[in-house]
Amino acid sequence: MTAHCRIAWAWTNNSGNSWTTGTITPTNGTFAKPEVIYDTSRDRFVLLYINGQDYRIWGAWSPAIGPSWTAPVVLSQPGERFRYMGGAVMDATGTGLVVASTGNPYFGTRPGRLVQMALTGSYSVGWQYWVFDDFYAHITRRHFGIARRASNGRVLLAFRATSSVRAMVVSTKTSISPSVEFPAPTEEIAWMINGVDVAFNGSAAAFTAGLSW
Amino acid sequence: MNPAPGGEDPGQVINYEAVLAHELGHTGLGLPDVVTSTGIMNWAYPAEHGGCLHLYPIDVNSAQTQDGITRRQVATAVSTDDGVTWGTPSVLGGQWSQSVISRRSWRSGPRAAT
Repeated sequence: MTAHCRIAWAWTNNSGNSWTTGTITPTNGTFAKPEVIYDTSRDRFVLLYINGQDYRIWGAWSPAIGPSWTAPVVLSQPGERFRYMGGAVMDATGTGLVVASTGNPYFGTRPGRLVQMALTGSYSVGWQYWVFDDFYAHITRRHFGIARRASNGRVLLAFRATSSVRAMVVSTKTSISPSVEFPAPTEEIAWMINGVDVAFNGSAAAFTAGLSW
Repeated sequence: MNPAPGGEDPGQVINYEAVLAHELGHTGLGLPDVVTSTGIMNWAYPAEHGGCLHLYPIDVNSAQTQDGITRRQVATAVSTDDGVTWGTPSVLGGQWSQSVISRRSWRSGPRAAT
């Protein structure tokens, strides 16, 4: 089996002026972007990644006050395989939402279709739901991003569309439930080249996207 | 690879990795183009193992980059209205930028070019 990239962590408590670093072990590595979110309800950092051997979503977590990572465990449901990591958001109660794109054809699905899943408990990833209701149109072959505005619960999803539509495509919804689909997305920034990630800046009340161009 | 109608757009540069992936779709997986005049590949045709390999044939559009690899840059874009509108991307550490905002409705329906 192919060896994939190991996952490293870096932790800072001085706004990035210095970092403590290490690696997550044991891990089979990943071929996709790992994701870290902050779990307010448990004061933890949670790492999510697509395992390089079984293509499932695995996770580990650490107290926020200092890096002490658990051994990774599989979180996603049996039989579901993923290719690109989108990301995750979590509300103040610890209820979360994970987005990724599908891996191998599964249930007749095109590879790269966007799916959303609940991130619950401490921690498990629920069964996948489609992000959009259009069976054919919405796939990606790049890592992508999701962010949430706590004040109004707005969840924003941004991804680089298919290779024919090289644009940052965006959709939002207010529910954190995976059973609630995102509305049809709109193309916002043309000529995007690679993946995208998004975050919400509370002080500026703004979503910010990072992209390659 | 079949040329795009009208030939390449001015300023676009072939991305050879993308061309290679496209041609591997033909030779390695036996995938035809959906429309030969545009070079758009039909990924679904009999590629039983294509998805397993995560080798995605790429169409003409993706085989070209806007300004070539050397000018790829990292940028940020900001929305202050919950994603409804976005500012022009700001390139990090560089002055190069151009107006690229293009808001379009999503073209729904089956998409041949993937």
